[in-house]
Amino acid sequence: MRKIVFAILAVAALSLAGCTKRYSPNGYEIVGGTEYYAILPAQEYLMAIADDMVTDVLGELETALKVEDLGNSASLRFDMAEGSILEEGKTWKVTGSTRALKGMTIKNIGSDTWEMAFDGDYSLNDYVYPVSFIAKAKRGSQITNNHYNWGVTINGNRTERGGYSCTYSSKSTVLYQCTQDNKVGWNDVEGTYLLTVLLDNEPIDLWALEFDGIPSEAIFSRGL
Amino acid sequence: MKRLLTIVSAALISAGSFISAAQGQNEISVYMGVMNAEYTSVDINRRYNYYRDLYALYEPNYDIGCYPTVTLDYNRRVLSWMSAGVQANWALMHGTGRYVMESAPETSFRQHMVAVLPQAKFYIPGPKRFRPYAKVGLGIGFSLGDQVVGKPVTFAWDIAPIGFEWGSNTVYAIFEASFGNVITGMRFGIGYRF
Repeated sequence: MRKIVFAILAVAALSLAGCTKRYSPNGYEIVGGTEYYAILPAQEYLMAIADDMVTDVLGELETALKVEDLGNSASLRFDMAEGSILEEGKTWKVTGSTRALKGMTIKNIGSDTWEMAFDGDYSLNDYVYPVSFIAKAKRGSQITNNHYNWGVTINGNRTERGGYSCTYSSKSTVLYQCTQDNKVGWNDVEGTYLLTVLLDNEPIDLWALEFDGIPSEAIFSRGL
Repeated sequence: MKRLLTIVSAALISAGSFISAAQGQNEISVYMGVMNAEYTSVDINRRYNYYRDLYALYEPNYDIGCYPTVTLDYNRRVLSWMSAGVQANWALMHGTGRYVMESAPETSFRQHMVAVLPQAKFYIPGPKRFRPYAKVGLGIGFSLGDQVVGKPVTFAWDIAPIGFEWGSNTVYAIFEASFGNVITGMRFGIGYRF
């Protein structure tokens, strides 16, 4: 009898505990109006494109550039045209991406510049972003063996549910640079990305993300 | 053979105790409960999908709490350990909508949540006057109001992993904890067996 009573109390307590939590979908505190409420999700959205996705694109490009050095394990991830990716006009396709860019094509368009095209789902952590873009990366100085600075331009779009879509682009060239020899990524980014939010193909908002050095300190702004 | 006879005897004795513990084939119950709207909130807000998208940033996100529910329940005994029947649930839900990217004022909504579910009720061996059970129902749910938030018609499921009947075989108190996609919460009620 005592066990039954305790079981009832436990079930009641669990039910009450779930009920007393007031569900707040965004999990953000509203401080001083909507400004705080608005910036973080939008900034994360744009950072996922401007920082995470672009650096993943550069990462795949650099992996392709050192296929000969990495041997079979890397070459199996690319559908390779005959000859080297260093030759102008050669197009490779990513068939096994460790950066969620399977299907992206990489083409040498000359002048030490490669053009990447992708149309599919790009996943980052727990989220999936359906994206379509064309990016160009011009190779700069070498930092470590087969690791370079890059100048990137990108134009892309994304169509989503509910009539929403967006277009995004780099405002001129965005520089991805590495200022420390022991870095495998790019710790110095300079340039600006723009994103236009559309509802039923009509612009409703404009975001900008300005990098001036350390990526985590990029400045987000909005306005149409 | 002896072991088999022992098992069969034990099963018959248990079956007999079920029958004597619950005379009458029909039972009707009425419950009142408290609804935890979190599951419904998830469906309404469609936040917990794997797309972090513009819709979630520009459309209102609803803050929904806990609300009372009423349930009517009918079952008929079909086996010594099982009944079949139907339950009808109602709850009045309202919430506040807030925009992430806009400085627009909050919006509010109010709607009735109704679900009708054929169900199966399973009796668990226990004391005569304190009878545990479990229930599962599958049916249809409706959201009714001037401006419905979420799906107006939806497939409904309801699972009560544990409930208790407490009292005589004819009139008894009921407590159960239930989980469903239309209404979720704990319920207290009274039942009548005839």
